[in-house]
Amino acid sequence: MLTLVVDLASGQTVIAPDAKSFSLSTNGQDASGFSLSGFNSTTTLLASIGLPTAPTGTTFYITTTTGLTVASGFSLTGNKTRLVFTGTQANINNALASLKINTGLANGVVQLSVSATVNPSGYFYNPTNGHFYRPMSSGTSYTNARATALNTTFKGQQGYLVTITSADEDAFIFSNVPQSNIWFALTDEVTEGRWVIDAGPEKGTVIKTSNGQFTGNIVGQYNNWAPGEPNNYGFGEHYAVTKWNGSQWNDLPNNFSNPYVIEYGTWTNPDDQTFTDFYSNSTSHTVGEVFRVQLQLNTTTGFDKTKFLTKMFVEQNGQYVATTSTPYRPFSLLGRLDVTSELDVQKINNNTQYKPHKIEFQNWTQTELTTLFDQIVTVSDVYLAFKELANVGLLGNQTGLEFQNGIQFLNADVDGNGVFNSNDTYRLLQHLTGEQSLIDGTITLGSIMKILPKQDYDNVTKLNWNTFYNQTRSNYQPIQISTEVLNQTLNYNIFWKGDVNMSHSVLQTNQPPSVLDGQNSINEPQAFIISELEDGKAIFYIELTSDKNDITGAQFKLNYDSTRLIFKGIESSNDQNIKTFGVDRNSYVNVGSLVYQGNSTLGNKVTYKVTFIPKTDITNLLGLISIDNTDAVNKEGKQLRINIK
Amino acid sequence: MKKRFLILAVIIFLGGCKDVYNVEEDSTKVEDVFTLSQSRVLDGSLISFNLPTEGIYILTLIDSQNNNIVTRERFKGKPGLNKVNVYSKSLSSKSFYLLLEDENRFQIGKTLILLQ
Repeated sequence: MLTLVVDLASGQTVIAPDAKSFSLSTNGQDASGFSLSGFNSTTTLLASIGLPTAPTGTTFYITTTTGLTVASGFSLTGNKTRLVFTGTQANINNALASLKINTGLANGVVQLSVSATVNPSGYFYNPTNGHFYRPMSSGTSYTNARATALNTTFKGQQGYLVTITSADEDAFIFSNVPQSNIWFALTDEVTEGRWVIDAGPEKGTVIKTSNGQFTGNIVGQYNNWAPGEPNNYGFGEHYAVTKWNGSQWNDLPNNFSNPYVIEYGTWTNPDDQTFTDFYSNSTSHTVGEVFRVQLQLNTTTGFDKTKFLTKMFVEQNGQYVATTSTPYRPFSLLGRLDVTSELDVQKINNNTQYKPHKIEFQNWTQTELTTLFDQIVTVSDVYLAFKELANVGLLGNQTGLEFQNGIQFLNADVDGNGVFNSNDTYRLLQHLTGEQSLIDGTITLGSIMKILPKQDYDNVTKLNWNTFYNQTRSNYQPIQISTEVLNQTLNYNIFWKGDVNMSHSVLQTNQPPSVLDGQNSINEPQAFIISELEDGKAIFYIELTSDKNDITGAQFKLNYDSTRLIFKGIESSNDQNIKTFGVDRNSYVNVGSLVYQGNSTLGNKVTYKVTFIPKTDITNLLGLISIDNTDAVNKEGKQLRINIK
Repeated sequence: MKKRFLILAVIIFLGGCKDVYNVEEDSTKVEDVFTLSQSRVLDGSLISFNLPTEGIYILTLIDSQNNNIVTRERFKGKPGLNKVNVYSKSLSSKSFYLLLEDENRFQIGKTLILLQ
C-alpha cells in the first residue's frame, strides 16, 4: 500500500510591495502593501516590522492594532523603528495595511522588512538582526550555561550563549528578559583583563584589553560596563553578566548561579535568516530622491511601437545629460515605458525641484522610420514648405498666405539643426520624389525624432510662433517635466501625429456622390481613372484635369496587391518644368507631379500611366489596384481635393 | 386556410434568402451577381454576370461608405455569362458598390459587394 504525505502547511509567505519613493519630512505616508499569506487562520503568529536601513528621522507606525498583542518591550502606539507583536494572519494583515512612514530631512534608502512565523512560546525575536532569544530563568554557572546553550536547537539553528555586540541588542535583552545578572558570552578567563566574546558568530573577538569601566575598551566594539567594572574582585571574576544593578555589565566568578539567555541565529541581516518555518520579506524604498515618469507612446495606426527606443535626459548646469550610459531603451508591446529607474541614477542637486527633462526617441531600425515617413510626407507638405520659406514663413514675419494651423516645426526640421530652412524642404522633396530617402545615414531625422507635447503643437499659431519658440528653436526642448512635487507618477501620452503638418493631406472622406447620382463637383480638380490588361501588363491610367484650379502639385496614393503585381514604372504627359514621381512602397505607389521651376502650373490636363507586371496568370484586374488617397495644392497654397470620377 | 398561409410564408422566406449570395461558399453556382442585392466575397473570388453582346465593358468599385471611386477596370466581354475575379488586398474598405457599364458609360447593373 502506497501512502502519500502531503505537506499541507506549505505555501506560507510574506508578500512585499514594489519599491516606491517617499517625500522628505512628511509624516503618515502610505507604506502598505505587505501581507501574510498561507498561514492557518486561527494560529497565533509572531510578526515583526523593522527598518534595517533607514535615513535619519525615518520611523513607522501602524494605525490598526485590533487583535494584536505587543511583544515585551514594545508598545503598539507611537513611531517605531521596529515593532514585534503577535496575532492571527488576519489581525496582522489589517495592521500591515495601515502601515505608515514618517520621513525626516535626510534622503536615502529605507528598507522596510516584515517577518512572520508561528509564535514560539518562550522565545523573543529581535527584528534588528533576525535572531531569536530564549531566556533561561533557572540559575547555573557560566560554563554550564555556555555548554547547555550549545546543545540546543531552534527552528534548525544551533543555540549559543547570548552575545551582546551592540547597544541595540543590549537594550533588547534588557527589555525582554525579566531576570537580572544574566550570563552572556564574554570572558577574560584566558588572559586577565583581555575580554573576548566567547560564543556565536563573533566568538574570539576582543572587545577590551584592560579592566576598568573604560580602560582598554576597543574602539568599534560595544562595551557597557558598570562604573568600576570589570575589576576581577577577589581575583576570580572572569565572566560577564548584564543587567547588573540596572542595565550595565559586571564581571562575576563562574560559580555564581545566574540566569542566562540562549541566542539563535548567526546572520546580521534579518533577510538572511535561515530559520525553518520562518518567513520574511523586505522592500527598499527611497526617501526624497525619486521622480517617477512613465511614458505611453501612441503612434499612427499600424505602427510598431516596440521598434522605438528612448533615452531620458536631465538638465544640469544648462546642459542636458543622459541619465544612463546604456543604449536607448525599448517600449513595451503596449507602447509603455517606465524610466523612473533612470531618473534615480541621475540625481538633481536641488532635491526639492525637478528640472525639465528631455526625452529622445530613436527608431529601432531604419526601415521602421522609413515606413513612418512614407506615410507622412505629401506633396502639400513639400509645396507649402517651399512657400513658407519664400514668405519668410516659420522664422520670419509670417505675413503671407501660408499655414493657418499649428506647425510641427520640429518635425519639419528634417535635418535636425534647429532651423527650418531650404535644406529641409529640399530633403522633403527628395524623399517625396524618391530620389533620396530621408533615411540615408546623413540626416539626423533618420535617427532622432523630437516630440513636443500635443498641447504645445496645438497652441502654435503664426501669430505666436516667434514668441513661443524663439527661445528654444536652436536648442530644442522637447517634453517638459517640471514639478516640485516628489513621489509623483507622471504618465505622458505621446501622440505621434504622423505628418509634417504644414498642411495636412486632403482626405477623400464624405465626398458627395459623383457617379451614383450623376453629379460632379465642378470646382474641384478631377481625375478619371481606369485600368486594363494590355499585352499581359496591368495598366492603371489617371487623367487629371485642373483647368480652373492652377494646380502646382498633385499626388495619388495607389494601393496594389504586391502578392500578385510588381510595380514597373510610370509615364506622364508633364513637361520638363514639372517633376513627375512614382515611388514604390511595396504595397502602394505614390504617383504625382510637382512644379519645381518657374511659376507655372501642372497644366489643364496631366495623364499618368502606371504599369505593373503580374506575378501570376491573371485574367482581370478588379481590386488589384485602387486609389487610397489624393492630395493637391494650388498656386496660393490652398489644399485641394481631387474628385475621382 | 392555415395550411395555405404556411406554404406561402415558406415561399416568401426562401425568396428572401436568395437575395444574399455567398460567392465563396458555392463557387460552382452560376448566378448573375447583378441580380442580387449584395454578395459576400473573399480575395480572388469569382463573380458572374450576363452580358448582352460582345464588346468593351467597364466595372467600377465605389466605396459604399463615402461614395469614393477606388478602382475601375475596362475589359472585353462576351455575350452570355462572364466571370471575373474580385481581389481585395489593395482595398482599404470592406463594402463597395459594383457598377457595370458599357463603353458609352451606360449603366447595366449595380450591386453591393461585401468583402470577408
